[in-house]
Amino acid sequence: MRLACFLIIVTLLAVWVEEAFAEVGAFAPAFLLLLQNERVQPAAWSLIGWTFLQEGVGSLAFGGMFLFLSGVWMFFYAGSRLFERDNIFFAGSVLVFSAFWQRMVVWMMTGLQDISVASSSGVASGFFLQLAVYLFLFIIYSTGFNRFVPGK
Amino acid sequence: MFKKCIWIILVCLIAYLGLYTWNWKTHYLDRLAANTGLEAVGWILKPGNYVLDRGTKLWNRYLYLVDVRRENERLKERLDRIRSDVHELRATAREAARLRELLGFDSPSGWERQGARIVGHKLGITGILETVIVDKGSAHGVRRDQPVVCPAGVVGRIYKVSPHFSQVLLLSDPNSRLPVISRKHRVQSIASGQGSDSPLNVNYVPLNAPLDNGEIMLTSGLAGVFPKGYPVARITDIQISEVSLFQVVRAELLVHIRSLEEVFILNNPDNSEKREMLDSGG
Repeated sequence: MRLACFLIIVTLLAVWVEEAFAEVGAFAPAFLLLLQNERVQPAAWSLIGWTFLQEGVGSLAFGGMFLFLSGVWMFFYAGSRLFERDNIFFAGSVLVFSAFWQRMVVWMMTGLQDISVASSSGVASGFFLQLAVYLFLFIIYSTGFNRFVPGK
Repeated sequence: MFKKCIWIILVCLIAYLGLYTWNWKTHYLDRLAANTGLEAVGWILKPGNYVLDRGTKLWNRYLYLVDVRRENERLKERLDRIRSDVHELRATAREAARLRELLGFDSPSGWERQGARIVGHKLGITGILETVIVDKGSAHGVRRDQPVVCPAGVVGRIYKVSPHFSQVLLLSDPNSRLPVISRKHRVQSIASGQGSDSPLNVNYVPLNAPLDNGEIMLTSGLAGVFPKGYPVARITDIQISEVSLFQVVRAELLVHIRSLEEVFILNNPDNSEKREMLDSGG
C-alpha cells in the first residue's frame, strides 16, 4: 500500500517536473530505484503505466518510451551481473546511460517516423540538463523510498 | 545461459518490431495511449494550474504585508491594501480587456468556434514537437486537424485528442505547414515553422513576386483545413537568392505562444461531415 502511494506521488511529481523542463524525462530514476530494491513486479507494472502516460502526452508514434525503459532495464540487468546493484557509482552509471539512451531513442524514432525536430536546447546542454534532473530526482526519490516504503 | 539471453532478446525485439509495425498501420496503441496518458496528464496538470493561479493571487494580495513595521502598522496596512486593490484591479482590467477581445472575436462564416484553456506544454522525453495541451477533447466534439486560433492570429491545429484534453501542434513546429497568401500583393506561399524561438520560413515565393517587409501573411484557405483570410505572420526579412528559383523569406508569428492562456478551436461542420464519412468508409 505504501509502495503504491509512493508510486502515485512519484508519478505526480514527475509529470510536474516534465511540465517545468521541456524534453526532459523524470521517470527513469524511479524505475531504477524499483529495480535496485528488487521490486520487479511493481517495476513491470510501472513500466506499462508510465509508458502509456508518456506515449499519450508525447508527439511520436507508440513505442519510444517502451523501448527506452526496456533498454534501461536491460542495461541494469547486465550491469548488475558485474557490479553491486546498491553501489552508488553503478546507479550513477545507469543514470548516465539513461540520459544517453533517451537521446538515442528519440533520435531513432524521429528518423524512423520522418519527423523534423527543432530542439529547444543544444545536444550537449540537453544531455547535461537531463543528467542533472535524473541525479537530483534519484536523490529525492531514494530519500522518500527509504523513509516511507518498508523494506522487503 | 548466454545463448538463452540472446534468444530472449531476439524474441523480444521481434515482438517489439511486430507491435510497432502493427500500431503504425492501425494507430490502435496511439489512440489508447492518448485516451489514457494524455487524459491522465491533463487531470494532473489542471488542478495544479488552478492551485498555482490561486497561490499567485494570494501572494500578490497578502504576502508583502508581512514586513510592515508595528508602529505605523495601521497606515501602512491601509496603503498596502490600496496597493493590493490597485494591483488586483489592474489584473482584472487586463483580464477584462482580454476577455472582451475574445468575446468580440467573430468566427469566420461557416465555422463554429469553441473556447479552450491551455493547461500544459510539451512534456516528456517523446514530447519533442512544439505543442500545448488544451482542456477540450473528443467529449466536446474536438477532432484531429481542427484549426486552433486566437484573436491575434493562427496558433496551430489539433494533433492528438483524448476524451477531455487535446494536444495542439503549434505553427512554430518544423512539421507544421500552412498555405498562406500575402495581404497586399496576394502572393501565395507555404509557411513552415522552425522552432519556438525562430521565425517562420515562407517557402516557394518566386523571385519576381512582389512582397514587402512588414506585410501580413494570411491563411489562403487552400486544403480547407484553415478558414481563409486569417492572420498568420508578419514578413521580417526578404532576401533574393542567387542559387534558388525562390526568394528567402522569413516572418514572425503574430501570436506570442508563451503568453497565451486561452484559444479558440474552430470547426467547419461541412469538413466534419466529410471526415466522418471518410472515417466510416462511406
